[in-house]
Amino acid sequence: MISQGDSGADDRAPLFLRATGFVVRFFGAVSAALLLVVFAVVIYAVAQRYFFGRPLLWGDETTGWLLIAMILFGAAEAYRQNDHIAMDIVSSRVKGRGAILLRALFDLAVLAVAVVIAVSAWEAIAFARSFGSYTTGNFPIPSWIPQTPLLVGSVLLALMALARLGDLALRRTAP
Amino acid sequence: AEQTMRCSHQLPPGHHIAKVIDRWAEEVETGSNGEIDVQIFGANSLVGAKENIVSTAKGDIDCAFSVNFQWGKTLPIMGVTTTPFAFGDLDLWRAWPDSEAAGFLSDKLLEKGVRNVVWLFTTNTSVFTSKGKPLVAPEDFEGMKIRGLDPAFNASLEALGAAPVSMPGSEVYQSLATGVIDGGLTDVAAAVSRKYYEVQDNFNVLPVISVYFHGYVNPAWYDGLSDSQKAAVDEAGKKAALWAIEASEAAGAAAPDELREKGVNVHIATDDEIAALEAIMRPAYEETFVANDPDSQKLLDLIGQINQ
Amino acid sequence: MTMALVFAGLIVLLVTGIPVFAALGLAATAILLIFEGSVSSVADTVFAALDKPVLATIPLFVFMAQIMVRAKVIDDLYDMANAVIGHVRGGLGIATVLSCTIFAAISGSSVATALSIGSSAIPQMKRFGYPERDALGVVAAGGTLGILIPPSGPMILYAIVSEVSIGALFLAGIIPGLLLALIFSLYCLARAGAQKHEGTPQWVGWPKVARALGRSFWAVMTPPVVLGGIYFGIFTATEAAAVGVLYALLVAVFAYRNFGLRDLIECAYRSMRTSVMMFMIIAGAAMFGHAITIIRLPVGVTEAVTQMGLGPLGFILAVMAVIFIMGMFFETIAIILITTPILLPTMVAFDIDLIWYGVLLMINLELALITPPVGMNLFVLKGITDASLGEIVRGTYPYVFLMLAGLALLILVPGLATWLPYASGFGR
Ligand code: NA
Ligand code: NA
Repeated sequence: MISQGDSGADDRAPLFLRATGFVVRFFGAVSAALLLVVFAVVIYAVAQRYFFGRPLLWGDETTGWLLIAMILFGAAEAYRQNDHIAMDIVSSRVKGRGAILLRALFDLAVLAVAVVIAVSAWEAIAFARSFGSYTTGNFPIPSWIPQTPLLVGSVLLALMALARLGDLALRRTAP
Repeated sequence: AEQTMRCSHQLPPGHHIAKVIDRWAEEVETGSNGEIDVQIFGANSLVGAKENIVSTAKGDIDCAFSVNFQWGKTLPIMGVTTTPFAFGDLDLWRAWPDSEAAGFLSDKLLEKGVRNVVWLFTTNTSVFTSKGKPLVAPEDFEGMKIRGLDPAFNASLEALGAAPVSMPGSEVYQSLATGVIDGGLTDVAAAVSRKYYEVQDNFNVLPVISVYFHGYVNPAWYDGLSDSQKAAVDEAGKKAALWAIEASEAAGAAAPDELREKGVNVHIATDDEIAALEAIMRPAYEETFVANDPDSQKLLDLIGQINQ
Repeated sequence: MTMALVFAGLIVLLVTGIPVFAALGLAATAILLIFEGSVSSVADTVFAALDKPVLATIPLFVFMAQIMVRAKVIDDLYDMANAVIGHVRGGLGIATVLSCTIFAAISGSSVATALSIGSSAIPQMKRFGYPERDALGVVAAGGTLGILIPPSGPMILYAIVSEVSIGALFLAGIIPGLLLALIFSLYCLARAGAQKHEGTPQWVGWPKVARALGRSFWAVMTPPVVLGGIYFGIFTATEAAAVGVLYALLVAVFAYRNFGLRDLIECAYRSMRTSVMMFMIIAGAAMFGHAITIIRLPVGVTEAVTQMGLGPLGFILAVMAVIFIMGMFFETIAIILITTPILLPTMVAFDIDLIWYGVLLMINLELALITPPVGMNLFVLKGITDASLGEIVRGTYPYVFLMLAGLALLILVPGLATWLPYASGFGR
């Protein structure tokens, strides 16, 4: 596993890096809170069914949407913390300048994928709004609403990748 | 092949409608002298059931097949065949593809952003399932938590005194087993394939709703076809509509006996019993259906004209 | 040809060390741009892959285990196992296997199992002169049970992709999991007989054993609470996971009394991070899966297999060999998500039991965790001891053969996996 400094947390870092770090950490906290909400919704649904005989109609769909928000709000924070799984056979052997270049390559790859998802999510949301599509099930809502975290999350991930690249360019030392 | 036609659907390969779709694909290919290469992606393998409509409208894929319920609140009028006991007659289905009613729905679909190419009747034989007592007379439904469908159909169940809970077919078994609902409503063949007989012991077979799949294409893709290619697609659609009726009839015919073999109580509703349910359910259905969409009344009138 | 190029490209991306989700996403983007000229389907694909309420099971099970570890409920497990069986020759190893087995029934992850049990077991084993190499091996191998004995994150992913019931798959993992635990224990016994360890701990006497058993009560009761609900059809898998979290919270707050709001927040945050990285791989794999489906690679695989004239058994053996090799290099979640959609049509055509295959896949992925050069459990041990990777691999390789034997047994006797789920009413 690769480990390195806590990007964006440094007090002397430029404003962009600090701001990105702050926003990403904020959404990470929201993501953790959403896990607690998912837990509460599922327990509430069980209690409604067994103790009150009233099955919860909106529980399942809502759980799915909360989960998507949890995942995408948390993705950039997990990336900031270097949680993402990678094969380090090559990268653990490369030192010095090569290591910096490799790190830059990883951040560029994440940036590219995040941008692809963000652009596509923007199109999907715009199309869903013009088409007027609704989610199916007991609790139909306009389908662009649960899709919005996809856009937010991928933009956050792209910002985090940029911040890490900026960090790398400023420090110019092996991580 | 000059044109590829990528079609997504949600059905497993063995389903009788999946086989009709495969046959339809061959018909499009031969009818167009091989100019259209139809690629079928079943079982949600390319695009999921929930995404088929938007993906086709957007042009990510060329074509898809959806069950009418999938339109939900996006185009509620597609749910018209859940009108209680209105679509039980197979002759109505044979006349359907050329009817004004079908044309009216096709126009609505095109306004929305997809072009309909084939209607695939799937079932007109449903079962109300329950445990302990059968669901036959209107009063049997009083206080039952029962699987519902769309808002209009749920209104007709509420008129019987039942509490409808809408859910996809895949969740009904688990819900019956865990007591989320007391009674099921499903296609008679699905009651066998999804093993409802393990958790329910009374099955009342009756033509309460009809369900259909329909195939639709991206309008821009269709407009890019030559006239002869368009004709091949249209012709294949007309043929496949009839194949679907035959296949669905065959698939539903054996199911009641298969259920009996599992040792459960199977009742085939009589005309009188059907009339008693219809008298309560249908007015409640139509009231909600028409209230949800002003075009619905026109559709119901057009349907009334078929076979008259 | 296209197939070879696509996979070669993906492997190059992965080997450089790009995060797995980004490597999958990049490969998918390249395919879509080359063959489609558009990536507009990406968002719908990612959304569809994640919009599955049942996926909530994964972070909830992680959360449950996190709470139990943080409240030190788990620490009592090894002490109990040690008190009960530690005094037998080879018993320290068996105690490790036993506590791994119980922890495996609490945690959905093999890494968490090796990490949690290893941290308390290895110092104990060292203290009594258990050979280091043997200690490393038994923790690495015992830890892999985490994904075979339910609950299991990888099983949930496989169940979702293949559309088999999560409950049925969980039940299918129990007997093979216990069987592997038995094989590991017998091996510890045989090994101890062969080489006479120096100090075996003394029998501590019945009162102390009883006390250790009492202390471990809450940890040992977790599997029945969670799995019993699924087994008796009271809860869906997601509900069972949430009930498990509730149970862990109640035990931590009221029985262990060492768990506050701060701990709750910390556990939720850690569980979120652990699951998010899994979910991002799901998203990347969905993009990749969509891209290769659109260029019809899975159809090509089915045709190629049919042309080779392999029967169902030959097919399974070939698949197991490929996954074993992939397992040396790749990460387990990626293996499940890349291979399953490609193989599914062929398995359906051969009428292969998808529950049985799921168990075979899990055992093979357990192997992946301990085969070098990339094996997560090997890395975990490197993290918690000062042993070299070479020493860890040398301690672990006998278990590779034991697990291969277990895999062969499951291939020959499918009933070991399928009997329990079918007998308890899950349909085929
Ligand atoms: Na487990
Ligand atoms: Na490995």
